Amino acid sequence: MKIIKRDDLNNWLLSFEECYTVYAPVALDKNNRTLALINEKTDLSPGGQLPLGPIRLFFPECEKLLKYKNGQSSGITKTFSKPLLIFGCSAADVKAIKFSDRFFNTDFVDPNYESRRQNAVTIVYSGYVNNGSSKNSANNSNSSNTEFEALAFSDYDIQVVSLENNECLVKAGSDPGKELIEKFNSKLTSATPDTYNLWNELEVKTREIPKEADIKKAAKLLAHDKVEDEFWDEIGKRCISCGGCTYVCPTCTCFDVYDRGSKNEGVRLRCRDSCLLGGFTREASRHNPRGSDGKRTKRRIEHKLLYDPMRWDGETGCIECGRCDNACPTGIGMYNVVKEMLKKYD
Amino acid sequence: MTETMNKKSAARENFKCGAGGLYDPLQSEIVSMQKLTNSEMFFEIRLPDGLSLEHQNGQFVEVSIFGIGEAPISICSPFTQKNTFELVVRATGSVTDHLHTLKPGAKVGIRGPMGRGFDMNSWKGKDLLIIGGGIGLVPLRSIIKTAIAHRDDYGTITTLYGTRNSSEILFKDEINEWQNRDDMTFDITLDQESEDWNGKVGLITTLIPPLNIDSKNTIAIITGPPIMYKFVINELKKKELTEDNIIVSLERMMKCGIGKCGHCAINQSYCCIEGPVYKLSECKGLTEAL
Repeated sequence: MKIIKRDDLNNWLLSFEECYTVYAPVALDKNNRTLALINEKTDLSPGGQLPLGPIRLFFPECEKLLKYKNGQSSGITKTFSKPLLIFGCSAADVKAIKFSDRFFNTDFVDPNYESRRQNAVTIVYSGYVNNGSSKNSANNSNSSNTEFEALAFSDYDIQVVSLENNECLVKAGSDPGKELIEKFNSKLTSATPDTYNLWNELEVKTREIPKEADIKKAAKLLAHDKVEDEFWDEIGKRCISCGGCTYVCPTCTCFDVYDRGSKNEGVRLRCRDSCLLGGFTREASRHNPRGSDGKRTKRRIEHKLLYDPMRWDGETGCIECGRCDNACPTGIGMYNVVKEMLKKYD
Repeated sequence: MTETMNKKSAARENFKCGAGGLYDPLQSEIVSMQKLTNSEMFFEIRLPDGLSLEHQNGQFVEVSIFGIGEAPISICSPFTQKNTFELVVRATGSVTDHLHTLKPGAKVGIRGPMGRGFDMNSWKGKDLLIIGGGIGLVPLRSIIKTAIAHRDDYGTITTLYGTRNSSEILFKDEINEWQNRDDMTFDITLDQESEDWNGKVGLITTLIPPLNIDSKNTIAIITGPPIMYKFVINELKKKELTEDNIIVSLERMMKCGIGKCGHCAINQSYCCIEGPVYKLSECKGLTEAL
């Protein structure tokens, strides 16, 4: 384990540019942050969850699958000249990346996801962080905006844990992460035994963070078929089919395919799609196996809490980031639906 | 879980695509075309560079027209046919409408074969009851042709075919030939009466009760419009067929064909790689399947 001064984070990240395409959270304005390429002047704004997670860099809103000209086509996969290094992931974000890795790499290995993900490095930023609501957050830990952000227990390459003073702990979570810490060490100092104790204390503190709602309990209710269709019809009535929940969800992987151009020359794109939209399952015959809002809202929740565990060794597809609850204009994100479900059936 | 993984591996076998990866189609040639009905066209297609599709009966391909898109289409030629393969396309959307306007010699993109097909090896020695509704007869043609070519491998072969009216009957010449064979039965019923039809009229379910079925030694294969399945299955259960011996091929919207885009998901199963062919017993728990 190492220690870095918070003021040195930007320069430390810039040193990775020798080998990586470095993305980190930056402030767009007072209330908006995003992952962006960094430079010497970048005002880093890490801490707290970004509206769209880092999975966007591996599976973007829209990307080219192939280009074609006069009947000849070629696949398009390479996007970054150097592998990605993403700083500022949350503990939930790296779980989502692990989940998506397995999905895209099982059986048919998705070439587009793979080309972006290959050799990419994830750096979690957790601990006493600024919640990202103002600029200069990384230099501002003593302000009233400071929050405790959960530490990741696994699935990261490097984790930077911000302390209450002006220091951060730096720990490797994988072999590549270990090598990187050894190689890019100009800003790092060695940890002391106290530092290890501190890390353990922060892990305990992470476990004590109260859950918004008991997702696992809801998953059990669904597994035991306790939730009636009437419940979903009622939730469905509140769905306005905006697709916001699936758009921000870091484990949603559905997409549609579009051609853009003429018959002679153009590109084939894939763009994120949403199972909440009426046409998602509509077949060529016009038959629609999920022809109502109730069936579609049921699908979204059951996919994450019932079918993903069946498919992926018991693991739910909800990584409990709460993004869908923030995005949903009518209050039927995962946590809210689960709360209603538990109230009615638990 | 292990069972699911095994099924998925079967889907990847023999899959072919262009040099640009899984989403890049192989530019293939339309060898011949034949209008079957007002809305259905038969296509014979050849892959480039002497490649053979090497499909299983019941699998499908994604047919691609650059500038318009891709559509999943069932293969109707038997797996034993090398060099070329055959499709029947109903004009029902932008890709399929455009396919109907093409001429032999034109190029189309092909990715596939995709999905899990019919496991005809496991049907050897059994009686086959083949039930097709409408365009559902298309993938079943590959089974009928294979069973005829290897006639000694199977017991009785009975095909029941129901379609809306006489103008929508597919493969008329072949059906004629099949009906004239004395080693199989092919029965047709139409939903609508018409002057040019003097055969049976009524739903396909009406053809099942009179059959003499050896329930322990019969495999029933059903393909048709979604509404048809539960009524046909009811009739078969009255004949005491078990759910392991009832095989269904399910229609779903399929965009990528390789288990990624999510449109074809039926509960936890991805129909494009674990289907479209399922035993009825495998549909237990797949509440969205039928």
